[in-house]
Amino acid sequence: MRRILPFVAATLLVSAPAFAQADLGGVWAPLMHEDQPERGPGPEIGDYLGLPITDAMRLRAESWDASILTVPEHQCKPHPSTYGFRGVGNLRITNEIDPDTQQVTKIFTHIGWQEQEREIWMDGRPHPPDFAPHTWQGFSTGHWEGNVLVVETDHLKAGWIRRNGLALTDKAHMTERFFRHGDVLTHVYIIEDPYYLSEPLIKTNGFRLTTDLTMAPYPCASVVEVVREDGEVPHHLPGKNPFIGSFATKHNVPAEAASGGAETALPEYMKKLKR
Amino acid sequence: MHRYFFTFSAVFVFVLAAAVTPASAQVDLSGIWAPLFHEDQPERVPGPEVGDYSGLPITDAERLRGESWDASLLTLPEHQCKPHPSTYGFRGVGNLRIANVIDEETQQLTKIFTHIQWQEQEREIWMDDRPSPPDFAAHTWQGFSKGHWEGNTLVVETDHLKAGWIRRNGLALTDKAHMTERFIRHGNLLTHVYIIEDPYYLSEPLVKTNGFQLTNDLTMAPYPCQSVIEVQREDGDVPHHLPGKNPYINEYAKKHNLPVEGTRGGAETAIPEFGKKLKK
Repeated sequence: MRRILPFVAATLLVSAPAFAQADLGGVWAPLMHEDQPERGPGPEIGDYLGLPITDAMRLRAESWDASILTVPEHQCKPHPSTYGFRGVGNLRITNEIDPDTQQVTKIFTHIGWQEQEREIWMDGRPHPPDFAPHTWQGFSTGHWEGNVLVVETDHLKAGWIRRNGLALTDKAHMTERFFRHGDVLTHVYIIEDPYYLSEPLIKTNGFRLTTDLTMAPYPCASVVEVVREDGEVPHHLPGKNPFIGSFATKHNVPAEAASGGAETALPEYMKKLKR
Repeated sequence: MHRYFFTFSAVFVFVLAAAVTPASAQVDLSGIWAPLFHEDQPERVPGPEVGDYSGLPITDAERLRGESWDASLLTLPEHQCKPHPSTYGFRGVGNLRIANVIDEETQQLTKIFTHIQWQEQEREIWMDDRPSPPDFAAHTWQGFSKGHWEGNTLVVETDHLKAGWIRRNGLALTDKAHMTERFIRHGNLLTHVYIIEDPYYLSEPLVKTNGFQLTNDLTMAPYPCQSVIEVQREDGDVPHHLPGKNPYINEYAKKHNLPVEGTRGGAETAIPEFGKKLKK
């Protein structure tokens, strides 16, 4: 009997599910109450207000030309995980359960536009070594803090944080928190990039649960939209982007503020501008 | 040439669009659902009384089979770890998890999984229009299930069942039983309607409903089960009652002051006219 008790205790510990895990499964529709002009129609060129970007990031963004999206190699690329949850497509979340332990081993997320598929590993596995491939969605591991799902993502391809050329390097790291409040989901994400962000970038997205199961596929095939010479890639050389000041002019915002940087997010920045 | 090209292109685009457009009005049933016991709680939770067949459309063969049943059967090692069949499981006390399997390319629903905690009842409901297996294919506790949508109602047809049961007091089914289910979602409530037909044990379809409430809880414990010797018995000793020898069969009628004929069941005991017949 004494030999059996430790076995029974160990079995109970192994088989007891972690407590307070919220079920995030279902199809969620994005709520655009927050940042709609940037997320729906899209950001204006040169609008970097309040974003903690570095000089290197600003230079990179100013070289960006929207026509790059017409190049066949760029037409079918999905949003990276550092941007996708900000888009307009519905989000489907599904859980993969181990049949023996009934533990969640993986959480899948799928967003309709360009079929953005993420795997969030919940089984405590380590992240792969540095030389492992970097992908649009990166390598994600998750854990629970109470009933909040916390996800850490690295091994990202060089992606973006905004659809106006604000890029990330492949050294970016993202931490996310998913909070469920009944039929509403809050997604908080924090991106760090040692080269393009001087401070962590923090944003939130809201979703509402739908009861609609259907989601259309998103087949994509590249075509020649604009006939170009071989090797021609739309871009602007440093200081030569003619559109970069149009946002500041249109909204009567100081050009210095429109060009972003951590301090432009703070109320004190207004006082500095007035000096 | 151009006309043929455009005709061909238009047909191709139409076919492609038809192929990729998801069926409308499919409702997402996924999540963990807690059973609601507003209906039939005494039968479903503590369990039915021995000999209570009131209002059930059972045949004489089913009644004979029910009367031969002895609850001690469940102490046999061979019976300890058996799950509920799909013809009963949704009536039980465990939470129900429903999950969807989506084909990556077409984004169509190919399969719905259901999992009920007690004895880990796992069902696969095929949504891809595959044919049913031949008659000689294996019969299982959960059977072979195919689903389709009627509006936003999931309709499931199940056969290839092992000989299971409809009530936990010996009311059995043969392996020729067939079940039709309808899953109807109203917000965070799910209504499950099931209709069982059995050419040997039911004279009419048996129709029952179960209710569920969606939870936000992801966790469900595993249910490992291992048989043990609960009662020492001679080899081949199987608890049972021979015909006419079950001493408990009339207890239910006596306890509730019901006519024995009413508790014996049969299709006519479900209808109001049966009360009048008894008074004659």
